[in-house]
Amino acid sequence: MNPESKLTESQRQLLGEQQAGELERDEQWLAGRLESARVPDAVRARLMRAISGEVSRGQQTAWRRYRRIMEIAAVLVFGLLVGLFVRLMNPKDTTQIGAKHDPKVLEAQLAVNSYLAIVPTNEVQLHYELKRLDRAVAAPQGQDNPFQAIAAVIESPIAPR
Amino acid sequence: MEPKELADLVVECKAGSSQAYEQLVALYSPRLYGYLLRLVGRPDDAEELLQEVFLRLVRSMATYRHDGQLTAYLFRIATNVVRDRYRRKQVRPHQVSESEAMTDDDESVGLGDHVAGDEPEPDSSLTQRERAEALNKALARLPEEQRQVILLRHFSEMPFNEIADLLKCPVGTVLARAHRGLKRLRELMQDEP
Repeated sequence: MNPESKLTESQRQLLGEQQAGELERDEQWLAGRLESARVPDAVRARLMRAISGEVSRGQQTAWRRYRRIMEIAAVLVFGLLVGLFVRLMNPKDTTQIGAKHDPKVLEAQLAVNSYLAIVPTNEVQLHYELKRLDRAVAAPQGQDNPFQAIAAVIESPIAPR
Repeated sequence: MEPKELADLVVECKAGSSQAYEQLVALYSPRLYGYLLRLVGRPDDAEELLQEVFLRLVRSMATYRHDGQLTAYLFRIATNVVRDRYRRKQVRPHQVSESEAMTDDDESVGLGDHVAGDEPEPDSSLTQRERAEALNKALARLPEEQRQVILLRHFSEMPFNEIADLLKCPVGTVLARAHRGLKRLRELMQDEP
Protein backbone atom coordinates (compact mmCIF):
# COMPACT_ATOMS: atom_id res chain seq x y z
CA MET A 1 0.00 0.00 0.00
CA ASN A 2 1.12 3.51 -0.79
CA PRO A 3 2.60 5.16 2.36
CA GLU A 4 0.51 8.26 1.65
CA SER A 5 -2.58 6.10 1.88
CA LYS A 6 -2.01 5.28 5.55
CA LEU A 7 -4.54 6.50 8.05
CA THR A 8 -3.77 9.92 9.43
CA GLU A 9 -3.85 10.67 13.15
CA SER A 10 -7.14 12.55 12.85
CA GLN A 11 -8.68 9.65 10.92
CA ARG A 12 -7.54 7.21 13.60
CA GLN A 13 -9.19 9.38 16.22
CA LEU A 14 -12.33 9.67 14.12
CA LEU A 15 -12.67 5.93 13.70
CA GLY A 16 -11.41 4.93 17.13
CA GLU A 17 -8.12 3.24 17.87
CA GLN A 18 -9.44 -0.31 17.79
CA GLN A 19 -11.39 0.07 14.54
CA ALA A 20 -8.48 1.89 12.93
CA GLY A 21 -6.21 -1.03 13.81
CA GLU A 22 -8.74 -3.48 12.37
CA LEU A 23 -9.11 -1.43 9.21
CA GLU A 24 -5.36 -1.35 8.61
CA ARG A 25 -5.08 -5.06 9.27
CA ASP A 26 -7.97 -5.85 6.92
CA GLU A 27 -6.56 -3.65 4.20
CA GLN A 28 -3.30 -5.56 4.42
CA TRP A 29 -5.26 -8.78 4.23
CA LEU A 30 -7.07 -7.65 1.08
CA ALA A 31 -3.89 -6.31 -0.54
CA GLY A 32 -2.53 -9.82 -0.93
CA ARG A 33 -5.74 -11.22 -2.38
CA LEU A 34 -7.43 -8.75 -4.68
CA GLU A 35 -5.65 -8.40 -7.99
CA SER A 36 -6.14 -6.28 -11.09
CA ALA A 37 -8.12 -7.78 -13.94
CA ARG A 38 -6.60 -8.75 -17.25
CA VAL A 39 -8.02 -6.68 -20.06
CA PRO A 40 -8.86 -9.02 -22.96
CA ASP A 41 -6.80 -8.39 -26.11
CA ALA A 42 -9.87 -7.70 -28.20
CA VAL A 43 -11.06 -5.13 -25.65
CA ARG A 44 -7.68 -3.46 -25.58
CA ALA A 45 -7.55 -3.32 -29.39
CA ARG A 46 -11.03 -1.77 -29.50
CA LEU A 47 -10.00 0.67 -26.80
CA MET A 48 -6.92 1.76 -28.74
CA ARG A 49 -8.97 2.27 -31.91
CA ALA A 50 -11.39 4.46 -29.98
CA ILE A 51 -8.53 6.45 -28.42
CA SER A 52 -6.79 6.98 -31.79
CA GLY A 53 -10.08 8.20 -33.26
CA GLU A 54 -10.61 10.59 -30.37
CA VAL A 55 -7.02 11.89 -30.60
CA SER A 56 -7.34 12.64 -34.33
CA ARG A 57 -10.78 14.18 -33.79
CA GLY A 58 -9.25 16.43 -31.12
CA GLN A 59 -6.45 17.45 -33.48
CA GLN A 60 -8.95 18.28 -36.23
CA THR A 61 -10.97 20.35 -33.77
CA ALA A 62 -7.83 22.19 -32.66
CA TRP A 63 -6.89 22.87 -36.30
CA ARG A 64 -10.41 24.14 -37.08
CA ARG A 65 -10.31 26.40 -34.01
CA TYR A 66 -6.88 27.74 -35.03
CA ARG A 67 -8.13 28.41 -38.58
CA ARG A 68 -11.23 30.19 -37.25
CA ILE A 69 -9.10 32.41 -34.98
CA MET A 70 -6.84 33.30 -37.91
CA GLU A 71 -9.87 34.14 -40.06
CA ILE A 72 -11.28 36.43 -37.38
CA ALA A 73 -7.87 38.09 -36.95
CA ALA A 74 -7.59 38.66 -40.72
CA VAL A 75 -11.06 40.23 -40.84
CA LEU A 76 -10.19 42.51 -37.92
CA VAL A 77 -6.91 43.64 -39.51
CA PHE A 78 -8.66 44.27 -42.84
CA GLY A 79 -11.39 46.27 -41.09
CA LEU A 80 -8.77 48.30 -39.27
CA LEU A 81 -6.97 49.09 -42.52
CA VAL A 82 -10.22 50.11 -44.23
CA GLY A 83 -11.08 52.34 -41.25
CA LEU A 84 -7.67 53.93 -41.35
CA PHE A 85 -7.96 54.57 -45.10
CA VAL A 86 -11.44 56.13 -44.73
CA ARG A 87 -10.18 58.28 -41.86
CA LEU A 88 -7.27 59.53 -43.94
CA MET A 89 -9.51 60.33 -46.85
CA ASN A 90 -11.95 62.27 -44.62
CA PRO A 91 -9.97 64.39 -42.16
CA LYS A 92 -11.84 65.51 -39.10
CA ASP A 93 -13.03 69.11 -38.82
CA THR A 94 -10.74 70.37 -36.08
CA THR A 95 -12.40 73.77 -35.91
CA GLN A 96 -15.02 72.25 -33.59
CA ILE A 97 -12.52 70.94 -31.05
CA GLY A 98 -12.49 73.99 -28.78
CA ALA A 99 -16.28 74.10 -28.82
CA LYS A 100 -16.50 70.98 -26.78
CA HIS A 101 -15.07 72.82 -23.81
CA ASP A 102 -16.58 76.29 -24.05
CA PRO A 103 -20.13 77.05 -25.27
CA LYS A 104 -19.21 80.68 -25.89
CA VAL A 105 -16.45 79.63 -28.25
CA LEU A 106 -18.88 77.30 -30.01
CA GLU A 107 -21.36 80.11 -30.40
CA ALA A 108 -18.69 82.41 -31.84
CA GLN A 109 -17.31 79.71 -34.15
CA LEU A 110 -20.76 78.90 -35.51
CA ALA A 111 -21.42 82.56 -36.08
CA VAL A 112 -18.09 83.05 -37.85
CA ASN A 113 -18.67 79.99 -40.00
CA SER A 114 -22.11 81.16 -41.08
CA TYR A 115 -20.81 84.68 -41.57
CA LEU A 116 -17.92 83.58 -43.74
CA ALA A 117 -19.80 80.86 -45.58
CA ILE A 118 -20.68 83.21 -48.37
CA VAL A 119 -17.08 84.43 -48.73
CA PRO A 120 -14.59 82.52 -50.91
CA THR A 121 -11.75 81.37 -48.63
CA ASN A 122 -9.05 82.91 -50.80
CA GLU A 123 -10.65 86.35 -50.79
CA VAL A 124 -8.62 87.79 -47.91
CA GLN A 125 -9.38 91.35 -48.72
CA LEU A 126 -13.08 90.65 -48.68
CA HIS A 127 -12.70 89.29 -45.13
CA TYR A 128 -11.23 92.54 -44.00
CA GLU A 129 -14.00 94.44 -45.68
CA LEU A 130 -16.61 92.39 -43.91
CA LYS A 131 -14.85 92.93 -40.63
CA ARG A 132 -14.99 96.64 -41.10
CA LEU A 133 -18.63 96.35 -41.95
CA ASP A 134 -19.18 94.42 -38.68
CA ARG A 135 -17.48 97.11 -36.72
CA ALA A 136 -19.73 99.62 -38.23
CA VAL A 137 -22.80 97.58 -37.47
CA ALA A 138 -21.66 96.84 -33.91
CA ALA A 139 -20.76 100.32 -32.86
CA PRO A 140 -24.15 101.94 -32.40
CA GLN A 141 -25.98 98.97 -30.91
CA GLY A 142 -23.65 98.01 -28.08
CA GLN A 143 -23.88 94.76 -26.11
CA ASP A 144 -27.14 93.47 -27.59
CA ASN A 145 -25.79 93.33 -31.10
CA PRO A 146 -25.56 89.68 -32.23
CA PHE A 147 -22.65 90.49 -34.48
CA GLN A 148 -20.59 91.66 -31.54
CA ALA A 149 -19.29 88.16 -30.74
CA ILE A 150 -18.49 87.62 -34.40
CA ALA A 151 -16.56 90.78 -34.59
CA ALA A 152 -14.63 89.94 -31.41
CA VAL A 153 -13.53 86.63 -32.87
CA ILE A 154 -12.55 88.15 -36.19
CA GLU A 155 -10.51 90.85 -34.52
CA SER A 156 -8.72 88.62 -32.10
CA PRO A 157 -5.52 86.67 -32.80
CA ILE A 158 -5.77 86.00 -36.54
CA ALA A 159 -6.99 89.41 -37.63
CA PRO A 160 -4.22 91.88 -38.50
CA ARG A 161 -4.28 95.23 -36.69
CA MET B 1 7.00 3.72 -13.73
CA GLU B 2 9.23 6.54 -12.52
CA PRO B 3 7.52 9.91 -11.94
CA LYS B 4 9.76 11.53 -14.58
CA GLU B 5 8.84 8.89 -17.16
CA LEU B 6 5.17 9.33 -16.36
CA ALA B 7 5.46 13.11 -16.70
CA ASP B 8 7.15 12.65 -20.10
CA LEU B 9 4.39 10.26 -21.13
CA VAL B 10 1.75 12.83 -20.19
CA VAL B 11 3.57 15.46 -22.26
CA GLU B 12 3.54 13.09 -25.25
CA CYS B 13 -0.15 12.40 -24.71
CA LYS B 14 -0.83 16.12 -24.65
CA ALA B 15 0.98 16.34 -28.00
CA GLY B 16 -1.48 13.75 -29.36
CA SER B 17 0.73 10.67 -29.51
CA SER B 18 -1.32 7.49 -29.83
CA GLN B 19 1.73 5.45 -28.82
CA ALA B 20 1.89 7.36 -25.53
CA TYR B 21 -1.77 6.63 -24.92
CA GLU B 22 -1.10 2.98 -25.65
CA GLN B 23 1.48 2.98 -22.87
CA LEU B 24 -0.98 4.62 -20.50
CA VAL B 25 -3.57 2.01 -21.38
CA ALA B 26 -1.06 -0.79 -20.73
CA LEU B 27 -0.14 0.84 -17.43
CA TYR B 28 -3.55 1.67 -16.02
CA SER B 29 -6.19 -0.41 -17.75
CA PRO B 30 -5.73 -3.57 -15.62
CA ARG B 31 -6.30 -1.66 -12.39
CA LEU B 32 -9.15 0.38 -13.81
CA TYR B 33 -10.73 -2.67 -15.36
CA GLY B 34 -10.36 -4.56 -12.08
CA TYR B 35 -12.08 -1.72 -10.27
CA LEU B 36 -14.88 -1.29 -12.81
CA LEU B 37 -15.48 -4.99 -13.26
CA ARG B 38 -15.91 -5.61 -9.55
CA LEU B 39 -17.93 -2.47 -9.11
CA VAL B 40 -20.47 -3.01 -11.88
CA GLY B 41 -20.27 -6.79 -12.11
CA ARG B 42 -20.79 -7.23 -15.86
CA PRO B 43 -17.70 -7.59 -18.09
CA ASP B 44 -19.41 -5.94 -21.08
CA ASP B 45 -20.45 -2.93 -18.95
CA ALA B 46 -16.95 -2.71 -17.46
CA GLU B 47 -15.39 -2.73 -20.95
CA GLU B 48 -17.68 0.04 -22.12
CA LEU B 49 -16.96 2.08 -19.01
CA LEU B 50 -13.22 1.51 -19.37
CA GLN B 51 -13.39 2.91 -22.89
CA GLU B 52 -15.37 5.91 -21.67
CA VAL B 53 -12.76 6.57 -18.96
CA PHE B 54 -9.95 6.72 -21.51
CA LEU B 55 -11.98 8.79 -23.95
CA ARG B 56 -12.66 11.31 -21.20
CA LEU B 57 -8.96 11.30 -20.40
CA VAL B 58 -8.13 12.11 -24.04
CA ARG B 59 -10.70 14.93 -24.10
CA SER B 60 -9.47 16.43 -20.84
CA MET B 61 -5.76 15.97 -21.53
CA ALA B 62 -5.39 19.51 -22.91
CA THR B 63 -6.50 21.00 -19.58
CA TYR B 64 -4.98 18.33 -17.32
CA ARG B 65 -2.12 19.64 -15.18
CA HIS B 66 0.14 16.79 -14.20
CA ASP B 67 1.08 16.85 -10.54
CA GLY B 68 2.07 13.22 -10.29
CA GLN B 69 -1.48 12.14 -9.40
CA LEU B 70 -2.58 10.58 -12.67
CA THR B 71 -3.79 7.42 -10.91
CA ALA B 72 -6.12 9.39 -8.66
CA TYR B 73 -7.23 11.47 -11.65
CA LEU B 74 -8.12 8.35 -13.65
CA PHE B 75 -10.02 6.79 -10.77
CA ARG B 76 -11.92 10.03 -10.28
CA ILE B 77 -12.95 9.88 -13.92
CA ALA B 78 -13.87 6.20 -13.53
CA THR B 79 -16.01 6.88 -10.47
CA ASN B 80 -17.77 9.75 -12.23
CA VAL B 81 -18.31 7.64 -15.33
CA VAL B 82 -19.96 4.91 -13.24
CA ARG B 83 -22.04 7.49 -11.38
CA ASP B 84 -23.18 9.12 -14.64
CA ARG B 85 -24.03 5.78 -16.18
CA TYR B 86 -26.23 4.63 -13.34
CA ARG B 87 -27.79 8.02 -12.83
CA ARG B 88 -28.78 8.05 -16.49
CA LYS B 89 -30.08 4.50 -16.49
CA GLN B 90 -31.75 4.83 -13.09
CA VAL B 91 -30.47 1.37 -12.12
CA ARG B 92 -27.88 0.15 -9.67
CA PRO B 93 -24.72 -1.79 -10.53
CA HIS B 94 -25.28 -5.43 -11.26
CA GLN B 95 -24.48 -7.94 -8.54
CA VAL B 96 -21.96 -10.31 -10.04
CA SER B 97 -23.01 -13.87 -10.69
CA GLU B 98 -20.71 -16.82 -10.90
CA SER B 99 -21.72 -17.75 -14.42
CA GLU B 100 -20.89 -14.29 -15.75
CA ALA B 101 -17.67 -14.15 -13.83
CA MET B 102 -16.38 -17.48 -15.04
CA THR B 103 -16.78 -17.14 -18.83
CA ASP B 104 -13.88 -18.78 -20.64
CA ASP B 105 -14.35 -16.75 -23.80
CA ASP B 106 -11.50 -14.29 -24.26
CA GLU B 107 -14.01 -11.62 -25.34
CA SER B 108 -15.56 -11.58 -21.89
CA VAL B 109 -13.01 -12.58 -19.34
CA GLY B 110 -14.45 -13.22 -15.92
CA LEU B 111 -13.57 -11.74 -12.58
CA GLY B 112 -11.29 -14.62 -11.76
CA ASP B 113 -8.83 -13.75 -14.51
CA HIS B 114 -5.72 -11.89 -13.44
CA VAL B 115 -3.05 -9.74 -14.88
CA ALA B 116 -0.38 -11.90 -16.41
CA GLY B 117 2.45 -12.60 -14.05
CA ASP B 118 4.60 -15.64 -13.43
CA GLU B 119 2.48 -18.57 -14.49
CA PRO B 120 1.87 -20.78 -11.45
CA GLU B 121 1.61 -24.55 -11.47
CA PRO B 122 -1.81 -25.82 -12.68
CA ASP B 123 -2.92 -27.00 -9.23
CA SER B 124 -1.95 -23.82 -7.43
CA SER B 125 -3.43 -21.82 -10.32
CA LEU B 126 -6.74 -23.54 -9.77
CA THR B 127 -6.63 -22.83 -6.05
CA GLN B 128 -5.68 -19.25 -6.68
CA ARG B 129 -8.45 -18.90 -9.22
CA GLU B 130 -10.97 -20.41 -6.84
CA ARG B 131 -9.83 -18.12 -4.07
CA ALA B 132 -10.06 -15.10 -6.33
CA GLU B 133 -13.51 -16.17 -7.44
CA ALA B 134 -14.62 -16.58 -3.85
CA LEU B 135 -13.33 -13.11 -3.07
CA ASN B 136 -15.19 -11.63 -6.04
CA LYS B 137 -18.39 -13.33 -4.98
CA ALA B 138 -17.94 -12.04 -1.44
CA LEU B 139 -17.29 -8.53 -2.76
CA ALA B 140 -20.45 -8.71 -4.83
CA ARG B 141 -22.44 -9.47 -1.70
CA LEU B 142 -21.33 -6.28 0.04
CA PRO B 143 -23.55 -3.18 -0.08
CA GLU B 144 -22.60 -1.03 -3.04
CA GLU B 145 -21.34 1.89 -0.92
CA GLN B 146 -18.97 -0.34 1.05
CA ARG B 147 -17.78 -2.15 -2.06
CA GLN B 148 -17.04 1.11 -3.85
CA VAL B 149 -14.96 2.51 -0.97
CA ILE B 150 -13.01 -0.73 -0.59
CA LEU B 151 -12.32 -1.04 -4.34
CA LEU B 152 -11.45 2.62 -4.76
CA ARG B 153 -9.09 2.49 -1.82
CA HIS B 154 -7.49 -0.74 -2.96
CA PHE B 155 -7.03 0.01 -6.67
CA SER B 156 -6.41 3.75 -6.63
CA GLU B 157 -4.53 3.90 -3.30
CA MET B 158 -6.16 7.26 -2.71
CA PRO B 159 -6.15 8.62 0.85
CA PHE B 160 -9.50 8.41 2.63
CA ASN B 161 -10.00 12.16 2.61
CA GLU B 162 -9.72 12.22 -1.21
CA ILE B 163 -12.15 9.32 -1.47
CA ALA B 164 -14.56 11.22 0.78
CA ASP B 165 -14.16 14.27 -1.43
CA LEU B 166 -14.81 12.23 -4.56
CA LEU B 167 -17.85 10.46 -3.14
CA LYS B 168 -19.13 13.71 -1.62
CA CYS B 169 -19.54 12.34 1.88
CA PRO B 170 -17.80 12.90 5.23
CA VAL B 171 -14.49 11.16 5.79
CA GLY B 172 -15.91 9.46 8.89
CA THR B 173 -18.58 7.83 6.73
CA VAL B 174 -15.97 6.59 4.28
CA LEU B 175 -13.83 5.19 7.09
CA ALA B 176 -16.83 3.44 8.61
CA ARG B 177 -17.85 1.98 5.24
CA ALA B 178 -14.35 0.67 4.64
CA HIS B 179 -14.11 -0.77 8.13
CA ARG B 180 -17.51 -2.45 8.07
CA GLY B 181 -17.10 -3.63 4.49
CA LEU B 182 -13.73 -5.23 5.05
CA LYS B 183 -14.88 -6.85 8.27
CA ARG B 184 -17.89 -8.30 6.46
CA LEU B 185 -15.69 -9.40 3.57
CA ARG B 186 -13.44 -11.36 5.91
CA GLU B 187 -16.46 -12.98 7.52
CA LEU B 188 -17.83 -13.96 4.12
CA MET B 189 -14.49 -15.38 3.09
CA GLN B 190 -14.38 -17.51 6.22
CA ASP B 191 -17.70 -19.01 5.19
CA GLU B 192 -16.25 -20.11 1.86
CA PRO B 193 -15.23 -23.77 1.64
